[in-house]
Amino acid sequence: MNGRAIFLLASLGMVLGMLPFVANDYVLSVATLFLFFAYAGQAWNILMGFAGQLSLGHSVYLGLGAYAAAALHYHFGIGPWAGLWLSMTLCAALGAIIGALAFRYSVSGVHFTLLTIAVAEFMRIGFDHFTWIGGSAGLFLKVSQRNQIDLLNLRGTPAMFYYVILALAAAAFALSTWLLLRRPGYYWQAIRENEDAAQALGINIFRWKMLAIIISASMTSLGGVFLAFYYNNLFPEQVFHISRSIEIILGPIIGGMGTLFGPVLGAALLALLADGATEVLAATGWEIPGLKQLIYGIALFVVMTLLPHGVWPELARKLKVSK
Amino acid sequence: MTPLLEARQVSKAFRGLRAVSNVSLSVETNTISALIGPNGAGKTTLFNLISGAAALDDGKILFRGNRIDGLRPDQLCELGIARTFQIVKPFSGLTVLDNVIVGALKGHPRLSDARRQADAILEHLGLGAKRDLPASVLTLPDRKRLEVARAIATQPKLLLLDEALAGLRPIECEPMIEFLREINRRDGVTILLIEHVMRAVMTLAQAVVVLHQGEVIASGAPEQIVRERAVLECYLGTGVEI
Repeated sequence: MNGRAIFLLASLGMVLGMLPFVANDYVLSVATLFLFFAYAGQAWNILMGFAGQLSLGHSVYLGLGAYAAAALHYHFGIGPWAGLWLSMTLCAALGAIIGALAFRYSVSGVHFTLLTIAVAEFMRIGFDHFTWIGGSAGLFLKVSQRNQIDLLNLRGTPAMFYYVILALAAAAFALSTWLLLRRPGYYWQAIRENEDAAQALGINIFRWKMLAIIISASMTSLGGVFLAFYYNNLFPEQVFHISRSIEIILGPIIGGMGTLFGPVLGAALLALLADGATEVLAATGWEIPGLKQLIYGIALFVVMTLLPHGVWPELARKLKVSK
Repeated sequence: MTPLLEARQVSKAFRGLRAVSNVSLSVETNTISALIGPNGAGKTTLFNLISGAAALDDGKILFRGNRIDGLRPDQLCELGIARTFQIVKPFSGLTVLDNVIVGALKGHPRLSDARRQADAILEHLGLGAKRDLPASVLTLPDRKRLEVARAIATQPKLLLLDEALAGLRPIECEPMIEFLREINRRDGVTILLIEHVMRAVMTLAQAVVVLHQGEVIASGAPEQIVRERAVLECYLGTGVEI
């Protein structure tokens, strides 16, 4: 990472750190969602962008992570900081099972992708009938006073949630950077580019793919914990749905898969485009249902056509910043 | 002394076609040996069997006296066997330097050490000026060099080269031959190469094995091989001057 990149990162951090002091609640909620997708995109990017394994079922880690921590809180009053360990453990285990099945038995490419979708759908339907945590009727956490900050139980103001997800997104960025610029990053990219050649150079393909899916899954699960306590309600139909998986991956695809800034930039662009357009239209008296999805689709189409590697690699070249 | 590499009655068939049939050969430590023969003789298949890329039907392969058949390519690399691919397999999205670093990381856990070693190898192979280019833009001769650079970076004891010189012009062959001879002498890397460039085989190899239709039809010193009637008939042709 060169000087310009660090300067860019520092300015971004400064702006995001100051935001709650100048922004209203609406802007803050958009920014919170942007950071959430930057975080989840970063987690997905480790598996796909670095290691080249396309998962279209990352909602499963989001959902399982969310439900595990929320259920502990709902039934036993256990706080999210304790609950997140269960979430991470469960999701790491689920990722390991999917990985072991796929990578051991050479389920690769599109078949791996189908497996990830199948597991997510299976979980969605399973949780619909899991009445202990609400089933399809949903699980609701008690909403307490929003003006009192209780960081221990993750209850508090929008600004608190904003800073929590900002910290998570920053940590995910740091972890991704650390991984990418060391042995794991090199080995994952080698596997992504050519498995035969990677294996011939001494890389244990199975072990490194397993590491990628376990890290990616447990990171995503933390996003789920955040989601549960931010929204205070969970429905299997939403949190496990494939459209949630798609939302997670749009950011990195548009921003630039396999890059560090890509997931952040992509999430920011999507948040600006979708919410900006919705706002502008609403102000002029237009309400179009499904507009967000339409904009996502158009953005994806335009970027794939003009910049197949995403916006960031091109932008980085212009700014003379390392990718 | 046990040979570094030994194949004993190795066979491999593809749907009934005997690609490699009852092949035995041995490669002595610190030598350069060549595997030659017409197209379809089973040379690359034999390489795939040795390097773990394909499973053999019958026979044994030993490295320093230990069975290695059944091991995966990454395990063989750990033991000190590296290979290049005839159809080059660069990591296209990575830079030339990063390609070699991937190999160098095996012996150098620290990235800075791996980078230093990779840089030195690239310099040596004449790829130094292209280190920051993506591997996808390299010409075929450069890709061939990159294959060798990456394999060497794993610091192998035995290097299997599958037509590393094919496609190189004579003037480009010379530095590569020199490089191979040097890593053999200086670093003690044993080399087994598949090659059609007979001039390279004659100058480099101390021992030659000739395959034809999956079987060994001759083996021995290069000067001796080029006089064998069977070799002349099936591969070199009669009346060649080497």
